[in-house]
Amino acid sequence: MKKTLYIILAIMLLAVPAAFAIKSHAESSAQASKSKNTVTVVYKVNMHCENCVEKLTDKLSFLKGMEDLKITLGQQTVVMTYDPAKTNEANLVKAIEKCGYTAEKVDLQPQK
Amino acid sequence: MKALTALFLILAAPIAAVAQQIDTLEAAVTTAHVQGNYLSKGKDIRTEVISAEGLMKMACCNLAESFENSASVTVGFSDAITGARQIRLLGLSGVYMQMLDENRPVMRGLSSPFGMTYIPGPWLESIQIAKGSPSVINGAESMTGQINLEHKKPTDEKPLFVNGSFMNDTKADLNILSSLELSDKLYTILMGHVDGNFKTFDMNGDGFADDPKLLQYNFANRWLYYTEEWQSHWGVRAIRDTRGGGQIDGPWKSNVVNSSLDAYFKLGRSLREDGSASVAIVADYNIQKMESNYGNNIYNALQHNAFANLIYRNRFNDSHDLTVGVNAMADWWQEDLVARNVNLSGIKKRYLQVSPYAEYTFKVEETFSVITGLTGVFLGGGDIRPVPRLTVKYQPFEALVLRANGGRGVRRANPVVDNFGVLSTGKDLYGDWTERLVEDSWTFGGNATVYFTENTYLSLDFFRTQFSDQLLADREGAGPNGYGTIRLYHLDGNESYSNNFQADFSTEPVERLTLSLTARYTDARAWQPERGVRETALTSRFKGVFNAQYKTRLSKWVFDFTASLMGSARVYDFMLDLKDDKGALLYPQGRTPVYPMLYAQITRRFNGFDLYIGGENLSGYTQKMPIVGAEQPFGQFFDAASVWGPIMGAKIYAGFRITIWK
Repeated sequence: MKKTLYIILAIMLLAVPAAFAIKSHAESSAQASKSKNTVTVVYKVNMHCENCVEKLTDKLSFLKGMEDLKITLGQQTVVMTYDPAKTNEANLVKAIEKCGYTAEKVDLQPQK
Repeated sequence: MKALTALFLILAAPIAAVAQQIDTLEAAVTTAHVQGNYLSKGKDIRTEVISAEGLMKMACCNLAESFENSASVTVGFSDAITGARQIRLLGLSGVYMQMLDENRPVMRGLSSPFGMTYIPGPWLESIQIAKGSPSVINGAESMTGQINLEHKKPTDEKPLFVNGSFMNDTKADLNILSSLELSDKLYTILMGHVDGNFKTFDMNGDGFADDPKLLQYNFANRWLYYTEEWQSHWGVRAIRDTRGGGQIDGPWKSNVVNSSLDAYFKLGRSLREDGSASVAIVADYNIQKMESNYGNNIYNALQHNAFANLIYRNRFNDSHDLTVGVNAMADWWQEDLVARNVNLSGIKKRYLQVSPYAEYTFKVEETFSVITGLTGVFLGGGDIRPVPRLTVKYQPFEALVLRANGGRGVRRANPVVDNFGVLSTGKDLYGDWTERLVEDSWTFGGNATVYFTENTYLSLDFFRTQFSDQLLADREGAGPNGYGTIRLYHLDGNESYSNNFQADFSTEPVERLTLSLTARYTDARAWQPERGVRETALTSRFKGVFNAQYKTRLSKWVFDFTASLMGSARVYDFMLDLKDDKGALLYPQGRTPVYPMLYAQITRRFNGFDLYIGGENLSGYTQKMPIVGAEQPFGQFFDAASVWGPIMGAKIYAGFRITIWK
């Protein structure tokens, strides 16, 4: 009986935040697709190890207006998708420099 | 800068470090692609990597709990009393695998029974599990493979990292780490850990605590100093662990107190400006003390261990690389053992082994590599054992990696600590429990990995370990008192082997969702006196692991689920007649049942702060009657060392992480 209670408790504990997260994720995705007003920029950043990736991920993920982030250590690139109504490129560069790195903008190839 | 990089590499053992750097690059292709567990593509030897992210998937209070997502390594309990953990690699006990801390041999001898619980998960950056016969640079003790632990670095730029977690069974742990830059050349990291289990439970009603009360203090301080030519690492670590288990109301009690102090030093110098030649020395000293009792049994021991390694590396060009050196290992033991039929007091022994070695690497770009290594292990008394090892890697095209590997392994057995569970029995002990036989084995194997896409691969591997000599404990021999005996014996040229097949599949079907499926099959057998070659008891035939992880955009939510299925294992002969409460045989087929284990975790990331909750063993499966003869704990048939499954049911935990970046 105790086992069953534990399992039910465990499922409840996991299900509540899971439902909350899925709802929150669905809302943010819907909001993002509704506005569709995002800009993607690529910067070459002088990072050299996994710790640099972790630091940049932690610092950039929570910037106001940040919508998506991809960091490639091998190519030393940081790809950021942001909402221009909430932030701008200068703020993004400033955030990278504040982490102790240099940021050099890379032109995106026009899609054919 | 090249010289500095080369220096770093030689300090971390050349071949492993080169491959690791390649892996670091490939692992972090994008933040979305960093997986918890993955097979290294760059390493010459078949290596599974558990990254920092993988280490966060479990409550991960310690190293023993970090392997739940891995089929390569199986973790169990040595006994149902002390909480000592034992791992299995390639179907054989963890004592046949070499444990390295940033390429220094650790967790040898007396520290092996509880050592796994003295490595806090939050202290680690990654774990690399290499199967087969690895490099000879760190000696010849590795038989089934190596597990290398990479700790968080002094250069991590995190002045403060705090991690705490609490489980519903009253187990709690707290970790505080601080990495500091004292100058542009000098860095340090302080690591503190405390954990405890404050209350014990007897959920199965056998009168014994299901897990011990415990309190552990663990502190480490590591340093790094470097210039263009020189690089030096040094550090210290101190541990104090007390644990008490046994009957909750009865007189059968167990108390174990472990204390240890460890200090190490590494110094490397680049001999050429381009870093193609370098020399390094590694030195390590460890003192470990254990005072323990288990009912009427007593085991007290003190071990001093010293290790030194002098390494010279010369990279002639991109194709030819030679490393030569010599390592030495010294052990001083003092032991008291009191058990039924054994009363040994103040037994002192000293051992020294010296191993000169050479390792040559031939490489054709990224396509083909051969590593040949040879070491001669001088064991004293004219006993010299040549240990050759060979590793071949061939990557005919980007999507296919083929590996073959083989070699010899030599180690001294430790009769008591290698069979630690025997202390939690009431049986007569026969044989020489102070003899440290030199065990000898050969391991061969191969691996093929096919990459369908960048993040989808299938890997198949086979490894076989065969012993030519081994010290074994016979727990099934009918002695003068039936099954109430445990007798040590030598293999003496008879058969003992383990064959292992494993398949790993990993994919990312949609962005931020990773799935992995692993299956392992083991056939381990060993000769027993008068009974011939038999399947090794309590070694599961197969293990399957499924893991799914999903992250929302920017990884603000992370969901992780793991299901594993543990296959059946032959039970000891003395377990065949065991019956449950209703009088039915517990093991009618002579084998343990197949059972599932479920794990789940949800993490919410905030700016500099993570919260997580999770559950372990969510199906609540437990082994029935983990203690044989619990009703007569001082009787000769009492046996708490026949554990094959979980002792505790479902557990829920919650935790937090605080990270402050420089």
